Amino acid sequence: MNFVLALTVGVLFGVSTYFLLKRSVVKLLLGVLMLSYGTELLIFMMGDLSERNMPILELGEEPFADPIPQALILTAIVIGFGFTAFTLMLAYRFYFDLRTEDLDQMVEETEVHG
Amino acid sequence: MDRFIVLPLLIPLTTAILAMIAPGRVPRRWVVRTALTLNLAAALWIFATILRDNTVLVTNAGAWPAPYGITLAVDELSALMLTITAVLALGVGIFGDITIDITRERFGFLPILNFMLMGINLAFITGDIFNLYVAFEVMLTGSFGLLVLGDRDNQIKGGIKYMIINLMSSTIFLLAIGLTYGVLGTLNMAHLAERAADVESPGILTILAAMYLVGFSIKAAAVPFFFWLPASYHTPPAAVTAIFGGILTKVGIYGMLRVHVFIFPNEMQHLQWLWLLMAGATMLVGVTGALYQREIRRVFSFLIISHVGYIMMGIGFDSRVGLAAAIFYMAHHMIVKTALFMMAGILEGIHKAKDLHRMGGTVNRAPVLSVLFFIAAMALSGIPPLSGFFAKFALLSAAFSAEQYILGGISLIVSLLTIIAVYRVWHEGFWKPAVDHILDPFIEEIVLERLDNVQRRLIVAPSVVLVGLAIGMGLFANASYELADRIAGQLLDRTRYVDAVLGDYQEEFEAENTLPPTFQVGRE
Repeated sequence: MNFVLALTVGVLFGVSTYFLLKRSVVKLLLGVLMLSYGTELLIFMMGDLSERNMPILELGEEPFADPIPQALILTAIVIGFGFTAFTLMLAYRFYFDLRTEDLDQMVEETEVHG
Repeated sequence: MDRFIVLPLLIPLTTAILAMIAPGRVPRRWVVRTALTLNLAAALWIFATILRDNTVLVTNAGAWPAPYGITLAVDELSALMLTITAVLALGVGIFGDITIDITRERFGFLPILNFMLMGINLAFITGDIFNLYVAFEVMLTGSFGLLVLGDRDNQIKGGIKYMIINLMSSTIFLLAIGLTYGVLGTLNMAHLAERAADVESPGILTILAAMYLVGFSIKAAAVPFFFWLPASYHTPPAAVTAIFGGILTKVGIYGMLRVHVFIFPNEMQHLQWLWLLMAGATMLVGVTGALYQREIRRVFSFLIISHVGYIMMGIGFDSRVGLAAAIFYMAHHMIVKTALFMMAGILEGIHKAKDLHRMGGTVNRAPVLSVLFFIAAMALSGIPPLSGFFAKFALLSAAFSAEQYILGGISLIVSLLTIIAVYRVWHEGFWKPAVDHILDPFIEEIVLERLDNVQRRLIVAPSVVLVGLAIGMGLFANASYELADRIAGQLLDRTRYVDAVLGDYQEEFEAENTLPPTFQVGRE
């Protein structure tokens, strides 16, 4: 199981690197998303995968699963969600201005010197 | 009394909400000004308490005992950063609420500024490394908002670069935190420092330290991760650039101090060559870029990068002298840089231009501003008796005592080039005769004509105070350096912080005559 997850994390990082090197704004966004998914999955693996009970003390059955990685992932997902929304808005605004999603068309307006 | 350290979080949060619902421009301004003054008072009180009692203030969120809950802990370094941030926030708050245009203010300049301040303060206060990540994200969210607020084309373009790179840096930081938890089994900084010291430097901790280095140096804009900074910092209004240039990159430096100096002190010897190489390259690249630029705020943006190199160099010597010099330099840099960016904003407003070639004759038109700018510029380039001279002197003596002669030489050359870059700004912007020019087409300057006399004085007042602080740091250099040395000493001496945070936890285990469960690092 660990091997499969490790492979998935590796594939996610690879795909995200590929997307991040693309010129399109949308692919850039996908790249950042993949990167954060890979990271979240990796944190999930840090919780030591095995069959354990829910981390609720009242059930009183040991051993418990480690609740910390779950809390971390949840926080990371929420933060990532907010940033995705913001990036989408920026990307839309970018397209609205330039009528293209190609980042190479992004030339900063500088004045004519002289 | 310890629980009052949450004040630097509560005050900006309340202010942001109040500023959103305030009825009209004038009440909103006064709410924010009052609150930022209170924030400064709280920070000064925390700093004074810590210096007087020689202690670490600790409080546990929700009364969950450390290391299980989220710990908030303030030591000397945190208190220093809180205080400087509070001073800068008050100055930029007053400068900003006068100079910002009405559209930006209506769309929430002041609330976003306060949310960002909350994130910055949380980064300094927190004693939990995952919470540090959350603080970085709160700060980033605020800075994204401020950066694109106003919706100009250049801002959107700068915003995309800033956003993508910083998201990547946060993700790498998060990745490192996840792996740290897997290796050391805790997230509490004091607990991490304790456990990392027990592990006799196996390779995995070096890899973790390197990952943190990448994450933080993107935030701090060190070479080779600096490209986002000069691409975005000149696009928003001057008030936003001032607070960004003063504080944001230094939060990345604070992360380095916490993680590399405090938690993983043994890893520095493995990373030192890389660290010093990055520091030297950052100094050189930053100042070279500054020499090439023609727009005043771009010049200062590149000089930020150069100074991040100086601070990293001090940390990289891995000695108390170097650390003290780096802390001294950081304090000096934050104060002077913010003042310079605010004055650059006013200068753009006077000339209605961004380009230095279109300025000139300011000495006659605005003598007070010119004198202030001259002092700040000299402080930045390190002319005695101002703060920059002693900061650079301390760094240089640290370099020679660490026998890093090449790096010391580079820092001297960079110092010389900084004087040239700053002198160019002074000559073009202030000293040369006024030039007639066509108006810059894309300029969005501060409209000075709309301000009355009181407001015109008020926007210069923060710079006066900050320049005063820079002179004070130079005149009382011995006292300032002793304070920096004390902070460095406390940062290197982990036991006091660890005892303050984990005291109860350790006693509990000692009472049961068992040791705290140590985690075996995955090594054969």
